[in-house]
Amino acid sequence: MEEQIAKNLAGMGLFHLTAGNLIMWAVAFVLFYLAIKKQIEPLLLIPIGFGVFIANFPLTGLLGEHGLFEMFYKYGISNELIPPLIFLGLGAMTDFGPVLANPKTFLLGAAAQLGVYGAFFGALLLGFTLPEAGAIGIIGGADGPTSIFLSNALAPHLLGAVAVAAYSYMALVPIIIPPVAKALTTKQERSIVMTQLRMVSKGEKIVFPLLACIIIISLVPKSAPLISMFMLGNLFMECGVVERLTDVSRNALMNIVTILLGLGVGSRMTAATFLRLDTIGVFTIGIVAFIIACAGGVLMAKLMNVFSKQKINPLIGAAGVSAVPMAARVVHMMGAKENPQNYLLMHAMGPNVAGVIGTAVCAGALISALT
Amino acid sequence: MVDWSSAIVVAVTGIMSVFAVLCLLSVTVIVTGKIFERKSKQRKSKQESAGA
Repeated sequence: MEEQIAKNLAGMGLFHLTAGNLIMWAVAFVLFYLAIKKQIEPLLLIPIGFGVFIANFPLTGLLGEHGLFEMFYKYGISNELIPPLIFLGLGAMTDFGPVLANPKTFLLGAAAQLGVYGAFFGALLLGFTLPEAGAIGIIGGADGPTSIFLSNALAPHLLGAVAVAAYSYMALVPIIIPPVAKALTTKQERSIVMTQLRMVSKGEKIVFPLLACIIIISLVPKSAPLISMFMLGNLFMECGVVERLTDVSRNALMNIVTILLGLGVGSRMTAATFLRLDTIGVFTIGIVAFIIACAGGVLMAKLMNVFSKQKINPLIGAAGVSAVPMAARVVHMMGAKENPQNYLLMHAMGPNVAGVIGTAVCAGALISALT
Repeated sequence: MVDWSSAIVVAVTGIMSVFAVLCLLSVTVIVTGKIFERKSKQRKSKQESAGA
């Protein structure tokens, strides 16, 4: 009988809790606080936080070979299914109009990717391997699904840290962009009023996703999973004849895969995998990546002004980090603060969506180079 | 030990790919924009001449 009681007690998770588990619960509670109280990326931080919380209960078997969370991870993230599905939904919500009206802004989206490579070298200096550095660098692209996609391909053991760093810094866009953009521009530059964008025809918007696929996938084939789904979602929306598919892509499907993604990512953040020095390195380099990305976009805008008659407000370069549409909103507010005549929102959406494409291309290039 | 030469190759090819893709996209969008604009002008002038 005593043996039986001892066996039952041993089967209780309570007696197997470690300090690491409790610290990870605290991490989960911080994520809940940010999501619920501060409304920071709640759609992702709640499932991620819950994944962290539950994954750190001992003896649940959720992360075992046939465990529920392991299934989410194995069949959703590890096989790279969910990030492209998220891109399908994003495509069905993205209006490429601003970037089509002012195609020069594609270059601002490209320049913001310098952050990825700046952070790549930073991570190497901290002692990370080449694939790990690639996975950490992509945080500078400020695109959650792309960060998850790439870190899973290059350094799955860093997946949790990279994902949380990417979403945290995306949420910190209103804090990170203003000082960087302000430091690199004069008041006069920030006050530049940009001319109104031309109207883009429906035909152009329908043709764009197809042309983009031809160009991007032929040049960087490994970006195909993300780019193809992104452009398919956009084609759904722009062609106007598949309302049901557009609706399901941007609502029901997006919501379902977001839950699975969040739980899958959160469940990777166990005490053993997250409470390591590497995690601090990921977060440190992540913020450096973000700062370089903002600076890259702003400096490129200034460079373009040297050669162009029609001046662009360099602030919109900072929106080249993806973080759609928060980065564009922050830039818009900065411009309006300097000059109330300034309405930069639509102008900033150009580099913003170009940044999404740029980050996916970066991910494709890093996968081809490092796998 | 970091293989710096590989790292530089990865970074340079990556940056070049991103700029090449987005520059090419930019040029393509400019060209298609012009084509669509011309077509729309032609359509308008046809409608005007038909109306007259």
